[in-house]
Amino acid sequence: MIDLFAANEGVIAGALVFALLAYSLQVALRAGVFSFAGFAAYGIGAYGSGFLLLEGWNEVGAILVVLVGVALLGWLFAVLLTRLKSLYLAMATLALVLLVQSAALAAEPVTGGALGMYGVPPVVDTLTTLVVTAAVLVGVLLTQRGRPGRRLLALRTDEALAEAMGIDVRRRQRVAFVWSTVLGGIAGICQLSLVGVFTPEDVGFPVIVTTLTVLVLGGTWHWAGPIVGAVLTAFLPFWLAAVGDWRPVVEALVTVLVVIFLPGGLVSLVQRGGGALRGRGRRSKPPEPVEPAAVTPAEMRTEAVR
Amino acid sequence: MILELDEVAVSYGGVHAVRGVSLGLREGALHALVGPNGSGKTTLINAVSRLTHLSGGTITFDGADVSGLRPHQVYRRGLARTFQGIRLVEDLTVRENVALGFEGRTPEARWFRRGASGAALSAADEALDRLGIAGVAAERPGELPYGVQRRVEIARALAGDPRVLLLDEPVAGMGAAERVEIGETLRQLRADGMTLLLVEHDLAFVLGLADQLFVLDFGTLLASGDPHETAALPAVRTAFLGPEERRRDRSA
Amino acid sequence: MLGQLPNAVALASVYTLFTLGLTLCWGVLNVLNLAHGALFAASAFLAYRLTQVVPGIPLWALLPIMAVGIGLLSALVQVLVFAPIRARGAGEHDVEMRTLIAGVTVAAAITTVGAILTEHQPFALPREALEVTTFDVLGAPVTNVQVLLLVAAVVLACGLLGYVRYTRDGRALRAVAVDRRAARLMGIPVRRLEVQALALSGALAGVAGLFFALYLGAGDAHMGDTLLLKAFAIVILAGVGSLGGAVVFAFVLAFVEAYVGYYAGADLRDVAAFALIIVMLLVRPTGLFPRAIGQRA
Repeated sequence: MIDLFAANEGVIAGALVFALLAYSLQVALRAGVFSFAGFAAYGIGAYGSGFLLLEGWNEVGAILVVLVGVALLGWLFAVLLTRLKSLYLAMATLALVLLVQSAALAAEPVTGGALGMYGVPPVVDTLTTLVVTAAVLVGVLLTQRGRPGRRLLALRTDEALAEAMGIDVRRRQRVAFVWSTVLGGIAGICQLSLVGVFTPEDVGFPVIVTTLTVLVLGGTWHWAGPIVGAVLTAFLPFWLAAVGDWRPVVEALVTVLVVIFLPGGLVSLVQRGGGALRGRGRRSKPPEPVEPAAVTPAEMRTEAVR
Repeated sequence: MILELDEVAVSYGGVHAVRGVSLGLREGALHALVGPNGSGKTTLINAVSRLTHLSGGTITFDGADVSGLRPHQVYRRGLARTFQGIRLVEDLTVRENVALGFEGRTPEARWFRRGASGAALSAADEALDRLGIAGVAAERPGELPYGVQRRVEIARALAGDPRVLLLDEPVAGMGAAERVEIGETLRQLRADGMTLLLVEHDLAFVLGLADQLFVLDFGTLLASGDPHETAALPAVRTAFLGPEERRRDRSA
Repeated sequence: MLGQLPNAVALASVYTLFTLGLTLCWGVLNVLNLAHGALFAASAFLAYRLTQVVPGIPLWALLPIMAVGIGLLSALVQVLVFAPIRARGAGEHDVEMRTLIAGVTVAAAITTVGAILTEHQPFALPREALEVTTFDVLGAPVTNVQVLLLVAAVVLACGLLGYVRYTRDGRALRAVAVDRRAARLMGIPVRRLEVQALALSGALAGVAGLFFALYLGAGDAHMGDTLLLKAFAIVILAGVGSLGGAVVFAFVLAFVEAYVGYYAGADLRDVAAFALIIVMLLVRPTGLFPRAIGQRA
């Protein structure tokens, strides 16, 4: 077991960082917030901790300052951005990620520009990252069950209903947004420490794509989704070594198939197996509500506006 | 008056959906708000439950001005509502859906208290029992008949033990027998001391039921008072006579 | 000062062609097609491969081939990926997100194929396809590629606007944008229209990609990536689904970029651009021309 860990340490470390990023995305999504801000925090966390450590700060101080800073920044953006809805929010936060990326490229004296930041003393090892990821997993698990789980589900299914049922939607979403950025920040600190170098490309589109793949493959809504997806995505390249250059195409094909046919990800395969035993596998569409026979233009207008 | 509306107005862009409505709900009475389609009924209760912004007027609930509050705040003060369409969370069981209503009254900081979930679920069972559908608690709402789903909606609003309940067309799309049953349930709730506002476009359904009638037309309060007397007023009859004739009158 | 003008106009033309297709699908079908950039790049690298297989093939033959080819490819993505996702979707939110992810993934696949076909190297379309000539307009050097690009952008943009506003299918498309379910109940063939919209948007990307490679003199498999992000900016600033707004902002962005890039350098240009997008979204979350396509008479 220990040997296996040692032999694959690099792969495991990479998988854990992607699992953390996927949790960052999931925590927001589960509150109905489609935000990529965690990736901006990923960049800020890596560069921020690197900068402080190179300045000679001690480890704990650097990590704390970076995480508190990221959380504050997250709250600020949450207040500014959470009034945007779904894809608009996604695109605004994507712009935020690219802003961090282009700022990292431009601020060469601090970030090392395109060559990246390196030579930073590591503050976490793979084992610590594993513990942190496990803690995050437990946290997500706790908010998936019982009361918080029900309310999060209501929140992301129907915001107006959730509000009318006493859920402070705005606050929930802001808190989720902040957690998302904090997890992104943690992932950034870990990535810099584990790999030893951080470049602007690490804050780019490909990382977002891989993280989305991790989340979708594993299971977007399930607490185990990110970790299952991350492990699969990390080891997929080994299994697909035979296809050589065409590997990304095969990966893409697998992901598309999962997105279309397994909306709940691979975790749902396991769940479905268990669910069938409990007789909860069947799902049917709700009956069409009977529409009022005549709708006047005025009512249509008010409906449309709401 | 437990709930009072004073000159409440709502407009979107250029559309004035509600233009200065004043009315009050007496504690423990069953009120009905009727009006033709498009008269602003749903907009009005959206405004009262704070889902829609107000462009004017004030809403007073239990002596406090709630015009500036947000939806979850008025719910926590005991003002619950149902929606016109079915809005149940598909991925939760009926019991869990109803539990949401109970949990909405508790501050979020107590989410993790031990046993809290159990209390919510037993409150849910109680509410379902009140609607006579305790048997479906473990089912998924999507698999139930339409009329039962509508009753789950009412049970969810009841689970929070509200002081005032706004019902947006609870019997729409139901058959005659089910309408009678829902009417009985509403009477029972009134007997238990709850204040109700029933929004309906079917005048006949509310006549035998309500203590007081409000008639809304083109966003204004056309008449209010004793149900039968109010319904007999010429202006109210015209409003309900069928939109075509009225349109012709207006354009002439 | 004037010397930058032809460049700015050419860039604006590419942005216009690229963005119109994106905003059409997003505004009408609520399909944010993240594979759009890869389709754009596919036009360039497939054209490049075609010139290798069929030496001496001229531009007037390449152009329709790429337009039709990329249009078909785009329609294929709709039929094989986006439509099944919608058919199996649990709510609009869920469909949106899965469409987004599938688009990203399809883009990754197309880009990889392109990288393999071009051996991971930048490529240049051969001179035989189009002899680039330069002539003088009011003292500014203008190439024939720039002129062709502008003509293509004007003709195709007008064509698309005309299609959406005046044809039967265009009107039906607008009905779908307003209310999908109602449109289907009224007998509008929603699925066919969706495929048609994706095909049109792909054809526009095909034309844009080929011209962009000609205009720059070189291309690579990743050439669509940055363009996609700029197109987002344009679509969002213009208001999703607003075709006229998209044209206006394509020109605004191209001019700002050409002149800011010229005077202040490329690094700051990007920082400024993304900051601008965020600020704009905060000020006007629905864009500057917030009417949806359906409401355009």
